[in-house]
Amino acid sequence: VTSLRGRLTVWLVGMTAALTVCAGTWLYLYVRHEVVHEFDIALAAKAHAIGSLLRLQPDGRYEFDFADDSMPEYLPGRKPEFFQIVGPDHTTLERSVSLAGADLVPPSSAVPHEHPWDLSLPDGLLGRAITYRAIPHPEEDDRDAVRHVPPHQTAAAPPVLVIVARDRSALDRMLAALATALGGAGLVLAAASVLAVRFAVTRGLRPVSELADRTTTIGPDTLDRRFDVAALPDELRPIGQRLNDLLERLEQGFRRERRLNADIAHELRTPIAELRSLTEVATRWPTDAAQSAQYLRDAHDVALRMESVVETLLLLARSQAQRTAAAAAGSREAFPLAGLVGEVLSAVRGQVAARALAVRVDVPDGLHVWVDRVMFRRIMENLLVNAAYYAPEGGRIECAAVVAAAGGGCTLTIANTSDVLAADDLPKMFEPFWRKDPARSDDAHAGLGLALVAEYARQLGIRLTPRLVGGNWFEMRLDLPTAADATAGGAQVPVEDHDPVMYERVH
Amino acid sequence: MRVLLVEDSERLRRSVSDGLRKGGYAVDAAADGEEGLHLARTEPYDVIVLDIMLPKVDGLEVLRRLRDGGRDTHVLLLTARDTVQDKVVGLRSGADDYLVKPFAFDELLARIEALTRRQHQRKHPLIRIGPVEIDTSAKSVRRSGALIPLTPREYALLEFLALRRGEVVSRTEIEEHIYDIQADLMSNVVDSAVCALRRKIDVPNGAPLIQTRRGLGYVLQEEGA
Repeated sequence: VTSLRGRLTVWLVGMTAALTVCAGTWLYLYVRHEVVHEFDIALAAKAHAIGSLLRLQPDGRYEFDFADDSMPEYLPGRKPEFFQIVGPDHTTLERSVSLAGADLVPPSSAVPHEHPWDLSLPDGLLGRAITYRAIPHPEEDDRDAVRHVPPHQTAAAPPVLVIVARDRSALDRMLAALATALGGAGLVLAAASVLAVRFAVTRGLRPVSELADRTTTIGPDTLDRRFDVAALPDELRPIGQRLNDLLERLEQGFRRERRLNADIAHELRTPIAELRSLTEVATRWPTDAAQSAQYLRDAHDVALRMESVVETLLLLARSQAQRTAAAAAGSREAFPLAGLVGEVLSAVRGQVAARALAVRVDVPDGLHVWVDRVMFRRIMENLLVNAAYYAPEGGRIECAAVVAAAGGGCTLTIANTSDVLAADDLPKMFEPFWRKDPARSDDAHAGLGLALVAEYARQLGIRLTPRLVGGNWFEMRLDLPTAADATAGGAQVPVEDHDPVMYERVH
Repeated sequence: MRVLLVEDSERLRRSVSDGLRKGGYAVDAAADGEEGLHLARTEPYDVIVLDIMLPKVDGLEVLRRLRDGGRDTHVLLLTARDTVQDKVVGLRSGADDYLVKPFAFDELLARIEALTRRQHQRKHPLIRIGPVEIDTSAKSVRRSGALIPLTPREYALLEFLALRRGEVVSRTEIEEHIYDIQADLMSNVVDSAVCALRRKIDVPNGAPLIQTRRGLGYVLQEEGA
């Protein structure tokens, strides 16, 4: 049984059945004990009545003052009762007429039964007998003629044994009827409990079924659905909440994936359209050699651009696939930040000069950072190339680093004048293919650089904070670990799960 | 026929313009929405091929402003946006046709031809004027079944006159629809072109298909009509 409902039903029905059997057995045993006890009390009363008729004569003989008519139950007939009186010498002193000379216990044998016992009656029926030890009193004694002597007491006069027996078939029939009634009731109760338990379990588990039903209706196209947590039972609320959280993350992931796919498709459509148009026009009018040569150069440029986009996408995808703390931590090394900044800046020197940009660098010479050098260089290249490319002509670029208190790493800020960015652009700029110009006419940048920066920052444990100050000054702050922190065993930055980008607005 | 191409991709703009010119169209090209809107407002184009994602002014905005200004030039949207919603928005904004990038150049040509025919209320691509048969799809001209080789501009002139057969077409109209904005138009450029065309399509000593209406322009009609 794999279903929760089935399991609960089996367990509950099984336990109900076991309890019913126990209760029925106990009830049967209790009733049987009581009924037999009453039966035995009646037998004892009869034995006492028989014993009270015995008198000890002065000559030591016993006299039994009994008239058959006064106790007709001891006469032969249908289901008669029996008695036998055994003297101290184990001889039968008296017996009921119904015994017809037979004995309830064999002559000259000890009567072993101190408690009532079952026996086979002379008429063949199953009966029950009781032994009553009695001391007959002398004839002149006014007291009760007979006194019962407990077995462990020694009497002054030798006791006689009064054995009374009667048919117990009525008792057995009643006990059988009781057992049948209890068994039947138990079966009916078990059958009813199956239905009742199934109904109760189904009703009790309805919120779970509804939760499961709603879950099955959620697919890639309906990820915007949410569970009404407030309407769920207390036990299911945490599950509903977790499912909602999961759906939220899934929806965001799917949305991001769709947007990325659409962006990739869109980004590749224009160069493909260019290639098709160039080749089809050149093929249709092949005699124009100058035009064909120009088109070949154009096609080559398009191919290079597509190659660049695809390679960056692959780099991003591989980087995301290999995103592990061990991978990033294993390749860390200490190196001077100022040296790297200088190298990257010299690579963009041509652009800086062409656009008449003023560059200020303020990075302490002794500052060593503790990151993967190759990945960090890629981050710096992207940020500084962007700064040089997007700063307006005659603008400024600044690159400054400040060491925080012990264990706090250092803060590197790369900033440039900007006349196009708005505060609303900051949360979007790390998305793949995002570009300020919605027409994406800019052929030199595909909008993947900052996405790669964010991915590498995530792996290196670098916190990125883009800021727009005063509307025309863009800053990208990087909080990164230093070599001193690593030597001192500074705080480890979680790599895989942290969001590398923080946003803050400065008005 | 004169076409305005508004496209921000330089390579696409260049190749499509070249192809259309070789296909017999006079083509002006603009790299952004602002320039495209200015040209569309000031020049009498037969068809405008318009990208949507354009710098400065968005293509849909260009289209809306054109329609709001009363310009009913046929507009073909040429864009990388391919969803049904994009197409619906484009067509409802006043576009006459929609073509998704990447596209086959032949398809673009065919759609521009169809829009041109629609402008002159013609369904059939074949125009017959007496013994002369003009195939606006193949951009070919035959006289009594024999192919007449024409330059793209001669063909454009003949097609323009043929689409307005029986009507007097002024020299200015011919200049506006056959020559692009960069053409160096001398005073007798149209007369020279008509003269060159007559030499190719008329038979010696026969009545000319293109007749001159002095002071008014030219009219193309069947011989003897």
